[in-house]
Amino acid sequence: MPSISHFAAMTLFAAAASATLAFHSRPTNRERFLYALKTFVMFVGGAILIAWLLYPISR
Amino acid sequence: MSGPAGSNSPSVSRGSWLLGVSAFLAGWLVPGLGHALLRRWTRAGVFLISIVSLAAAGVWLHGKIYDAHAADPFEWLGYLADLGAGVLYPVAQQMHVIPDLSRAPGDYGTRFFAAAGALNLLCAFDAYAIGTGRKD
Repeated sequence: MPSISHFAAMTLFAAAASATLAFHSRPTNRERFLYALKTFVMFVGGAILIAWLLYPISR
Repeated sequence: MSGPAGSNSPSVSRGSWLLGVSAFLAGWLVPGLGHALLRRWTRAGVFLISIVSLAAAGVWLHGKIYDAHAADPFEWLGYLADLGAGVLYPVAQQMHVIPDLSRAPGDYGTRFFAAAGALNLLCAFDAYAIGTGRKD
């Protein structure tokens, strides 16, 4: 059975979704790059932040 | 109202309903094909790579591909999302991958395929908007 870490799965999803949303909603390549970068950081950073917030009640 | 054609948009400057519907159907069936039809090559390539990658990861991780025999409304939503992947949906079904939801990767795979379908629908509507001239 294939295996993938939660972080790798999250990164793959964030990369694909960020690129798609950026090309969907921004007209120029520069704006697309910045939007994709911002969205990617928010996806991954937000998940890490939530993980740390939930850490005290995880056990 | 159609927007102004940008200098770097080599495509159709005035859209039509027929072109929009054609682009929607093409984009829904094959990720990126709707934008390729409208000569938006970069967008077409990015949409193709990102959506096919997500769907392939979903199948590889033994995610569940929902069918029409949904047991509850949430499975119906999953079925509708999976249908959004266009031709990738019957391809995934024909691969007869046994879903393994007892482990986390199988659950990720289920979400990946559904996300690929939802993103593909978004891209197909984007192609429709460009084809009808509502968006550049």
